[in-house]
Amino acid sequence: MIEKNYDVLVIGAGAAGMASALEIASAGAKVAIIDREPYLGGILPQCIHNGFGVHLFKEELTGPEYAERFISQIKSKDIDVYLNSTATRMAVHQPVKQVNICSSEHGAFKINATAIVLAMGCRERNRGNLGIPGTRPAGIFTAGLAQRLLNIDGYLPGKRVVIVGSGDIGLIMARRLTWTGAEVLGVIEILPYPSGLTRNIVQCLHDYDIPLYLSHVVTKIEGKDRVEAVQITPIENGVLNEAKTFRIECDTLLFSVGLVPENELTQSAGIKLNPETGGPLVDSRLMTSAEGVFACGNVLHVHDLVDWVSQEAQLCGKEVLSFLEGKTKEEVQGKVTVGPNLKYIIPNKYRLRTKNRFSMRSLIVKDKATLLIKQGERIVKRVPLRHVKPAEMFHVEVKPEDLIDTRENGELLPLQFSLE
Amino acid sequence: MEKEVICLSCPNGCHIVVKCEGGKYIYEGAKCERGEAYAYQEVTDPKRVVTAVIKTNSDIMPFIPVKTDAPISKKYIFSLLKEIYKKEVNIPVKCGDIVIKDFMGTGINVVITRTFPV
Repeated sequence: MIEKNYDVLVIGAGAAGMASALEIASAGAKVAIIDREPYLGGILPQCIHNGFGVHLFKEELTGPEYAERFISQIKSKDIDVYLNSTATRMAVHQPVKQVNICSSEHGAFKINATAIVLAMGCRERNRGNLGIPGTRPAGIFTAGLAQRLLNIDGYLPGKRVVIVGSGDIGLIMARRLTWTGAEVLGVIEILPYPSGLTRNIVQCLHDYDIPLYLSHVVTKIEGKDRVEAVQITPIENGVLNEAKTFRIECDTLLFSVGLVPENELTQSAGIKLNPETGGPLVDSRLMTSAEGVFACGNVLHVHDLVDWVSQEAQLCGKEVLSFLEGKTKEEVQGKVTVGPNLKYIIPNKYRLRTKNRFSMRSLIVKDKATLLIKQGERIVKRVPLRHVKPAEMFHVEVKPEDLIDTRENGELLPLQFSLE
Repeated sequence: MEKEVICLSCPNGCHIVVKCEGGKYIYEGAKCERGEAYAYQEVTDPKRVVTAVIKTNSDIMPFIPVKTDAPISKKYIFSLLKEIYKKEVNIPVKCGDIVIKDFMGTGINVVITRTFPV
């Protein structure tokens, strides 16, 4: 089998993969990037709506335009791109990592690399994850699949549509389908509040009078060959009120019920995962439990804005470079612990001598919240937050001057985060 | 007239009630001036960026994405979409190529958002 040698292999050519590859290549390291699709950009080319790049480029771009800013840079740099190529296995617990790749263009080959960046993104949760009873007719799609059918391949997935879950992709699809002449009959959300961004609730649902049923569940799917109807039941005081079940006749059901990091490859390589995010556990360098294997973007934790994916990937690229230069090996790291009202924090470790950038999600909806950061009993920082909610990730920096070197049994005291 | 608007100027997402009394607009619930400006636009002439895909003459890339190069009045959205769906473009296309120029005298163009082939 053909073997190729690189300093760094980036797996996945979406927002995260492209930004990290660019960062690494700009310092002169030899980089390869692989992707299973025939084009660069990952999910971005099918996200034809606008609103990308507000933070990074200070303008509102569509997904394909945002991707193109990076694609044109990749083309101009000395980066080897392998498209239509899938990584099937990784051997990572050794100084030179080896990845088996299967490609319709290049055949089967191996890439040897000193460092690997995991940037495979995420996949959608689907009907199977929810366990909705009923028949198994045609016409049931995840929102992202419907988006691809419509925006890349040009197929209309259905004409009378019900959307399960108020995630952003589902909301975007509600408007997109309405604009294509389909009728969107409702969005069904199990939680008492929407999971998507407010702007999408307003511009995708309110604009077209699409009803949003909060605290409601799809309790049955009807239809033999094609979806014919769904039954919907409200949740009242924490239990289903079956007496109030109603029925909507439809031919299509879309699921927008969350995303999970795509980590089959990671897991099969023996890398430790974080049960809270579904992505790998990473230290303050975004390095996984395997030395020299890094992760960034949605494979690490699911982001709500691509701008933050690119930013995280750029930081990851810098960390990869420091690793290649042997700079960061000696730095002492302490644990990061997740306290009340927080779902998770990335990364899972902190360091004393270099700036730490944490990304996290709240478990609660609250105005004027405070993030409390403690090192043992010592208060490191109180960060006032105007508004927190689970749908919007937020970031906090902890600088070396904020921290002190206090240890117990030779280990740095954990950095504790809580929200009040 | 009374209308509720959710402001999208910042993450606060104020619910603003706009009332029109004797030709004057009154705003309730806006925490800042930006909210009032946003609510005024939403009540008088709401605008949106429209995005869609357009047919091409290529088998490899049968559809290519487009957008309006500025927000367009909501009242034009469906007639604009009809116009977009009628069109077919010839590959190659570049990001920014104009497909529809000055739609119905609004000064707004529909432009390609994906270069193909890259």
